[in-house]
Amino acid sequence: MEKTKKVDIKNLLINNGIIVLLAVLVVYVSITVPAFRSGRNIMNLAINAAPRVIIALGVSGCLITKGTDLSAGRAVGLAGCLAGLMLQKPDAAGKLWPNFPVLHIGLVLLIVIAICALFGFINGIVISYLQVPAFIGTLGMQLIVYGIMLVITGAVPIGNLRQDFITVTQGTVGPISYQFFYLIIAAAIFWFIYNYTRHGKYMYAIGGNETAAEVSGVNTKKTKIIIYTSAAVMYAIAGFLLMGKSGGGGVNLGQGYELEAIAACTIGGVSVNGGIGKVSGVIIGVAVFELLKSALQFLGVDSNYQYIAQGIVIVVAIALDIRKYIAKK
Amino acid sequence: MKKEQNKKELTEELAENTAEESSAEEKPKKTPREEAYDWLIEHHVTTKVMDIVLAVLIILLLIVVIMGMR
Repeated sequence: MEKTKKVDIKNLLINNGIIVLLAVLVVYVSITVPAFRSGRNIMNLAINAAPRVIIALGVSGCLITKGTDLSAGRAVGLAGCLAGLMLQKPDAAGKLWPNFPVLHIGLVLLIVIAICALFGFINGIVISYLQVPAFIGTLGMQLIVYGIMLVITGAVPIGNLRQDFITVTQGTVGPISYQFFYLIIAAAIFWFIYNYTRHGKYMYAIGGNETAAEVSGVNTKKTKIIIYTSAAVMYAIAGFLLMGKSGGGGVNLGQGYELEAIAACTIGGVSVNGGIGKVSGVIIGVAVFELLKSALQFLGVDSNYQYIAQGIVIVVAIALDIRKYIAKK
Repeated sequence: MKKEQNKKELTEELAENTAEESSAEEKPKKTPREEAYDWLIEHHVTTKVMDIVLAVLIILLLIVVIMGMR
């Protein structure tokens, strides 16, 4: 009986190794640097995590179906730049689109979503109908989107954003930022889709065994197109929020976010081999990554070393996954 | 006579198909990752080895963090 208990605790620690490792780091940093546990820092963490969770939720669908989306970061950048261009103050000096009419912020968001969704739709078509590997197809789209972004902005940074845009993205209810609510809404919608809809079931079926899913009557092509299009919608929302949060930005907005999202999904238990993944895992993965970054910053770790530390954490996550499999055998 | 022969052939075919299906059911297809992990097990990578790997990685992480703090 005692032995079983011992084994259970050991298994529990190993199964949640990354979380345990991070918890130790967080406790240590909280004790040594009190500012780390301040409410302000926790809220900052939530604000930083919000767009990243939204991106990771989009990417998770692609990963569950054995795909990936390398155009995520650049799509976020394009969405941010488009929103910034359309929501610059009418009297802003050096306005990039001086003759652009003043549109309602909701309409701008819809335009940005529609443009990004078009790119996601093309990604879906290329991957499902043309059978191009997701890695290559989305890599091509990444470059196309980046090129479009450079052409539209001329690589000029965008600033002087309208107050309503700032309010929607930087506003708070008491101490809680709006961004946190957007995160909760996005997570709730995805949780519902993954667990209670036919589309969610199809998605896991494709990830588990695409041929079997197709034989069972799942329209795999249509499902993949929906996945890549909905992912692009999430990138559009994340780009919109990021641009407003930072009060301005340029073509480098969202750069490398796709890899962060894939890493966060992997840490959170979304299998890159498809068929496995939960919304809660995605949120935990992003939280782990953000907490790690924040803890290292508070410890005063050089930013160059932070990259090495983040990389090792990803390798630890993979090693834990291998250990779990071996232990099961 | 011909009918009987046809029936026999069909029965044999059905039996063969069922046997194939059941053997496929018994051995579910492994994913590339499972195959890779099985390769590790075949090459004597046990949980103890993985524990050592994890310990080394965590020590490496600590070294990186300490070096970065200097």
